Amino acid sequence: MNPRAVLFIAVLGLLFAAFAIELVRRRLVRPEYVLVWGVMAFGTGVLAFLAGCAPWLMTLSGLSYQSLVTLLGFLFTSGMVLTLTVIANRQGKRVIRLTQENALLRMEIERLRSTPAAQSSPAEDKGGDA
Amino acid sequence: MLKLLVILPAYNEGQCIRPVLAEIVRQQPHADLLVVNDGSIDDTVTAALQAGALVADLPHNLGIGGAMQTGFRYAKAHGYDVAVQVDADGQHPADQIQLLLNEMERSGVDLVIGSRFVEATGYRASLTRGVGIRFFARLLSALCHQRLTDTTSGFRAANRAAIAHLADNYACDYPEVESLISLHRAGYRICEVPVRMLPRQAGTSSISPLRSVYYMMKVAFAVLVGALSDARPPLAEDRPSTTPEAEA
Repeated sequence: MNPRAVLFIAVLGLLFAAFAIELVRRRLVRPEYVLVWGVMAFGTGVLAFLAGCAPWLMTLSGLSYQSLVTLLGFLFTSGMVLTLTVIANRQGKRVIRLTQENALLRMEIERLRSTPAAQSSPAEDKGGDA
Repeated sequence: MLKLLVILPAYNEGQCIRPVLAEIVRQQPHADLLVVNDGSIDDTVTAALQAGALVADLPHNLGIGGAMQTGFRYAKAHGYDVAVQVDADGQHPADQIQLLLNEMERSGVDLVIGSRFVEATGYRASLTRGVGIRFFARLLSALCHQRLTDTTSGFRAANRAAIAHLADNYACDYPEVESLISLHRAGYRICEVPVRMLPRQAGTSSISPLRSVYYMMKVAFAVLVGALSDARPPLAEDRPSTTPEAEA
């Protein structure tokens, strides 16, 4: 590959990796969610610096270089979207569970508050504990 | 005596929930009533509390499945023998609840569905809804190897074992059909009993024709995937004490 193209891809990959690390450093993204971006940066580096890698993949797939890059980009994006879908689904389930528990616990609290024992004065309660 | 919980998922049903609750209290005086307020913006909570019901007030709308699952979680946590699902809009007459309980006691099944179509009850569905009802009735009948006529009915009674299953396995939106395949795959027994249903007392249904199409696609996909999923057998510790015979 053209040395200028290698340099361009390498700089782009490094910038991307630096941006991802900065997001983690600022605690905007948890490390586990950035790992997939790290894999992408690594893959980009392999394609850029291992001169034989791209031609080998082209021979293997029968695709031109442009098509190969487009396909890899599409596969990565699809993988990322799928990962995010799984994460969103998991978080959604947790939100539902928390919402349900919240409602049930608030109901229990209200019920306990309305019982005669709970309506005794705080001073009496403290005295009883002591 | 059977420890009975009547669960009413409610979304903006302030106009009609009071008489619905009053009628249930009249028909089932020993039952506990739990209204799961699904993020209503009207006075549903106030009306339900004034009618003497327990109210689980969800801070935001989860959909009918999320609301019902809240009820099943409560029923499971408090050891109810039977949980009956009743619509808060007055479509399910309170005097029909006993039919579900009688059938559960007679047949010993885990879930009894109140069906509009076992016998001719004069119920008339809209075109899209009617297509959906027939489609899922045939699909579920084939998958469950038994005749089911009203798989979308939200008028149901679940025993302790089914409550335990549904508390942990319940779809968030349009859950009725999915819950049947989930119960069937896990080895629970289901049957139907003919019931009479009424038009809703106030408000409008949230299922528009466009939503009906989404409903059919989403639920059909979920049911077919559910039919291929690994079955989870009923919990052994639940099973012996679940049937009304054991209770008796």
